[in-house]
Amino acid sequence: MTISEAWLLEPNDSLPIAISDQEMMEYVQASVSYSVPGAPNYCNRVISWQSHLVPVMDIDRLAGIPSDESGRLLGLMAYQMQPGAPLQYLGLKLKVPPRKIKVDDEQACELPEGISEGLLEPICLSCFTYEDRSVVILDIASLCSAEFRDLVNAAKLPAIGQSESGEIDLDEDVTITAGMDMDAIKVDLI
Amino acid sequence: MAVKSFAQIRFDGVYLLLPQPEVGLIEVSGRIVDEDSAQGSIGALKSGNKVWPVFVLSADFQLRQDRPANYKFCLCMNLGDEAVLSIACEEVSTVSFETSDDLEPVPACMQIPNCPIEFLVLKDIQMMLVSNTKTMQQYLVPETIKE
Repeated sequence: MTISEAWLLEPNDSLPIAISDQEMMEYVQASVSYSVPGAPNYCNRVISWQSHLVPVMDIDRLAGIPSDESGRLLGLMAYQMQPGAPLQYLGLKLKVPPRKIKVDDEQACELPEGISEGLLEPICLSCFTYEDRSVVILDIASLCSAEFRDLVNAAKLPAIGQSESGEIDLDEDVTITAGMDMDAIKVDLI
Repeated sequence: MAVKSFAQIRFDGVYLLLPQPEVGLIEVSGRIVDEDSAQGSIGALKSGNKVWPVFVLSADFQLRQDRPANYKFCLCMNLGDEAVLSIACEEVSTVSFETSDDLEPVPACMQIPNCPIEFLVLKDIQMMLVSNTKTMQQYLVPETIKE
């Protein structure tokens, strides 16, 4: 039995996620954010934090569910694209303040159905059960990578034949890692 | 200390910075002539033997085919001696930064395909977007790029 510490983040009621203790930097109530024209709608604002412009990601918008536009709670996290690379930062919109929790290996579970078939699946490292809910551990570097951004863009491009339902089906073997060649990513549209 | 100077233009609420050394001309929009100079342009500006196709952009960098009345100026950009393009805008001014450190690359997660924005900078609580003539050329008039 191995017990680890993690931060439980809740962007909404349905998708609790967890990141490692080392990745979590701060929890802030951002009063001012700045729009970045042309950026994807799920990540089109930045905040100024410790002399950095930090992108703010809205998981609800990424998942295509209604977003709480008034939400100002942000979990600030740090990540590296590869070992030795400079730290980069991401602000994740949250519904409630993050909680530090302890996770036991024995809590590991399968990815919930909605995740295992969706866009987020390639960037989920694993999953565990906590308070009777499935909590996915996200790879923040992959979430912020150009490869994941391109995958999301590809899924939304009508020019490549999105189905009427708008659903996409990811190849089972798809995994995304920081620095991965886009040629290695395959998106199948239903 | 390397000072970087930019021409700052405003359109549709967006502040766009382009390198000052690449500015060829600042002209009033009233001198735009109807000329089929480039796909997507609303006309052209001429000075001497140079012709700049004029583009109108929305806040999300989509091309517009109309010029709002308050877009009274055009910033004409050159690459060397070559007239490349012009962007219609509401205001033109200059801004300088003492080091390039003030400019932050657009994070990968915020980029979209072909977006011409390369850097972000926050100055006087105003978000500004940074590009350059070559990148804007690739975005607006890719057919004119010489191999």
